[in-house]
Amino acid sequence: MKILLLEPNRILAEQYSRFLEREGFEVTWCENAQDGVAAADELKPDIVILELLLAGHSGVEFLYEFRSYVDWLKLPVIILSSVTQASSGVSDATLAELGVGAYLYKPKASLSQIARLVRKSLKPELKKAA
Amino acid sequence: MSDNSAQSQGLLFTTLAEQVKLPFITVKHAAELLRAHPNKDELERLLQTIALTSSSALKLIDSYLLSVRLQTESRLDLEPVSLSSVLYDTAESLESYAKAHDCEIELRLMGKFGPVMARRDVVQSALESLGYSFIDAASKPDTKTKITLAVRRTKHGMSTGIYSDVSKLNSGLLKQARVLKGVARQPLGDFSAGSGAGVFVADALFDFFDTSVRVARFENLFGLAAHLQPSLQLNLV
Repeated sequence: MKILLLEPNRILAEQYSRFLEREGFEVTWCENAQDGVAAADELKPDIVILELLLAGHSGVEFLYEFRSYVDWLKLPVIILSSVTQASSGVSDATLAELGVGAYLYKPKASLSQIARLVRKSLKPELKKAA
Repeated sequence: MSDNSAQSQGLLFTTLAEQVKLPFITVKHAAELLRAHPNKDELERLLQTIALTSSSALKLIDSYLLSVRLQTESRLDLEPVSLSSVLYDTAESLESYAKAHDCEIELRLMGKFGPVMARRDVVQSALESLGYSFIDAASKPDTKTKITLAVRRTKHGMSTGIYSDVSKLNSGLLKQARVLKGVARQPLGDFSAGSGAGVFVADALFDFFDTSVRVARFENLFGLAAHLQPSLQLNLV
């Protein structure tokens, strides 16, 4: 199962990648939205993990662009952000509209919690693959 | 302290707090990785993460505290400061952080020049804070990035700063970032996803010499620099 990780902080990205790879996932990391769109097109990921604060292009803008492509309309997305949802100004309605399955706040989210959420989001696909 | 000054300090503190969260998150995750896979490699990574992220966070906190402390001093005693010497020390202190981000530090001292009137500890603190932020913003995955620390004479004084082959850095962005400091989550949006705390702390420190961080160009590189005034007396001598 392929994960596209959009995370501007290199050290955090390495940590997420390492943990998730050990959990059996294939992780591709991009540090900004532009690279993320290109990577998504090439890789066809099964799920996207996204930080809202991306240089030059917000995570929400990326999601709107992402969702405009037919292939990615149903792709699960998890937001993993250094700001709380309340601080982000992104409403539940917007999250639902953009198909965001979960919003995690980085200081509170553990690596194992992230992995569990990824598995849960991918459940139908994991069953198909098995 | 005036209301404006107190508000400005508050916004700077907010920016700092947002930036300092990140090192704690990385240490927390490093500990979890070690617990999940207790082996020598993970232990080494945990120790490296702690060392690296702690040093940048502590530097930022120390620089901020220096800016707060200076506000309480009735006057700032200036001294002749050798910018080349400051840059050497700054480069040394940034080296391991730069290396961990696949960056290489280069020093460029353009021409012979005398000292500037400043305070060495303040200038070095400002440049180090600026340096950490700049390395975070300028480094790219799977690419070796050169970070140039340079000083040269300009018509505005001695310009000292940090440069790289970066795009999306312009005066408008910095001007807007100052307005958004402590209010927006990523005031330097196009340049950096972080809170830009290092830039704003450097700004606060350079302010004591009636100067500020500005976007500058050095040869074909872009960066952040400040102008300091040379000591006319010492230059004559």
